Amino acid sequence: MSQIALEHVRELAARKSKAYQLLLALEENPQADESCFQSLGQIVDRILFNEISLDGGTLDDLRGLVTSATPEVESTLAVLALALSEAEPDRGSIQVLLAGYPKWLRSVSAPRGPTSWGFCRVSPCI
Amino acid sequence: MQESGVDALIACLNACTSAEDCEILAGCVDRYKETSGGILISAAEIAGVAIRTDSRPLVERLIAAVSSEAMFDSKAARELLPALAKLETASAIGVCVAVAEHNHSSALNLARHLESSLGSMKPQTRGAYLNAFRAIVEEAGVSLLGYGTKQLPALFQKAGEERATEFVAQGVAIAHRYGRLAAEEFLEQKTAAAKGASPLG
Repeated sequence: MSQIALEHVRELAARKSKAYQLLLALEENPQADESCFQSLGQIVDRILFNEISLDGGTLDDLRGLVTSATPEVESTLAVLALALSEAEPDRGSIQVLLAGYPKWLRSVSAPRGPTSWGFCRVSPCI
Repeated sequence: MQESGVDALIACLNACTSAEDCEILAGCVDRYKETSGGILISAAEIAGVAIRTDSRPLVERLIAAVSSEAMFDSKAARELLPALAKLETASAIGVCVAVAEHNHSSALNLARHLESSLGSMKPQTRGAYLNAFRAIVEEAGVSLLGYGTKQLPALFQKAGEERATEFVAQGVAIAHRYGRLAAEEFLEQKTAAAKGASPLG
């Protein structure tokens, strides 16, 4: 992407919303392709459009998700984008998804025991 | 349909120079056969413009974006084809069809007011402006319609088509990669980077 576009997003991240930091973080991920950016762009749009504020923990969790240098980053972001579109316009569900999805992914990818039901406790909407 | 309407339809068909084009035009008319005579003639006129200007894919997009079924439910959809038929060029119709893929009321409103946005633009600049406008709608949806009808014509008139097109292309690329809202902020020059990139900056 052009330096102008990157500088534009840096300004948005500094002045408008921390959600744009996620797009900058994705730029650092060598596994990220065009579809990753499209999914994350939709996610960021929904965060801003629905005026969702990301607390530090959620932002860090989402950043961990987008910087994960695995081939799964594409499907991970596509699923979150789709889930957020289904959750709209319920801001509460959007917030729960943003906070719970990275935690749920961590729990299901952990080597020990079947913990996937944990997300149901985090987000009853799924 | 009145006799003059039939004559108008025949005139549209007679203007086709190949059997394939006749098929495209007749197919377009056929898709609206359960609507009204005015809509049928408008469909034929729009298809005629698309064929004459080698913009045949526009016909398929129109049929997909404004279905005859939608016309039973929506007044805006019913009024849209006659409004589109009044536009002079396939580029102008193309912008409105791109909007109709999102919202029929917005497309109707645009079709009725697009000519005033074109103002005193030179024909070549008009084409570049309309193509840029359509690219914005296709990538970022209808949230930038106000920008497209107000600031965008001014940008093309003041900066010239080459520099304006280049700036819009950057905005469209930002919409594609970083989302619709980032593109809005760029095209409306809300950041120093966007102001620096703007030909009017």
